[in-house]
Amino acid sequence: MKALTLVLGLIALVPAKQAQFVAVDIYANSDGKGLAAWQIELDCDPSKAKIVGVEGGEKPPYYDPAALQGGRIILASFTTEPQPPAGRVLVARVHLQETGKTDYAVKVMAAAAPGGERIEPTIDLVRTGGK
Amino acid sequence: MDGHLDLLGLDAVRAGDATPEQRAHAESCADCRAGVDGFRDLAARLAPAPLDVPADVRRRILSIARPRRLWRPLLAAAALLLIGLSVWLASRPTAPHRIDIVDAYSVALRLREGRSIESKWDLNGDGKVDTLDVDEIARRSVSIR
Repeated sequence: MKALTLVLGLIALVPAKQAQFVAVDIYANSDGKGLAAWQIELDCDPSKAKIVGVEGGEKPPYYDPAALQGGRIILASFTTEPQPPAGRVLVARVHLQETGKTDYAVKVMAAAAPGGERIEPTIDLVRTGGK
Repeated sequence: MDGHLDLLGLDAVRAGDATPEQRAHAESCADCRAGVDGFRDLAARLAPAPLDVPADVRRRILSIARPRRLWRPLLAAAALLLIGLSVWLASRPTAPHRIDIVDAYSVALRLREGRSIESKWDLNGDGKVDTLDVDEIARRSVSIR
């Protein structure tokens, strides 16, 4: 009985995995053309990080709520304004709870310039918060 | 030819296999013609009488004698299935490409500009294409299921 108590005590003393909240900013660069519509996919190892929230620019992007608490999300948005932002644009911020070191992968699924011409913007991520 | 026809000659005349000389002799000689008639009578008596086999017995015998061709109905069924599948595939509308946000944007733009929009974008089936359909296109674009 004493041994069991000792084991349980040791387990209680072992620190749990340190969880930390981070944000990943997603930038799209359409190289001078206005970014009228964009759709990207963000992936990470769900055992190391879980998506907990999404922020957008002027309006929050579309996403599937089922993606929350997972490691994969598709984000998309569009504007019918005649002159959407061009250059390097912050399109979304994804909040995650990390429990380990993980890499983030992102890919463009679709994007369009004003009028509907399909374009291929480049994407870069900036991770903020945490250690 | 001298003398009468022998037995083989008589039977050849009966069977229609005789030479012209044998036939001519049989026609002119009463003894030989009587011999040919005797052969004909004998052949008629030896011929077996036709049996009247009932139809179901005939069918059963034939079904045993002929190998059953089971592959025929299977082949016919497969051919019908193939034809049906081909017709179905040909009549099926071609699947649109995976919906993405550019589709939502294009529909929203056309709505804004008052341009005509194909009815295929009436995703909620309410008989018109409007901003609710644009939202639906966008939602489907980001679905991870």
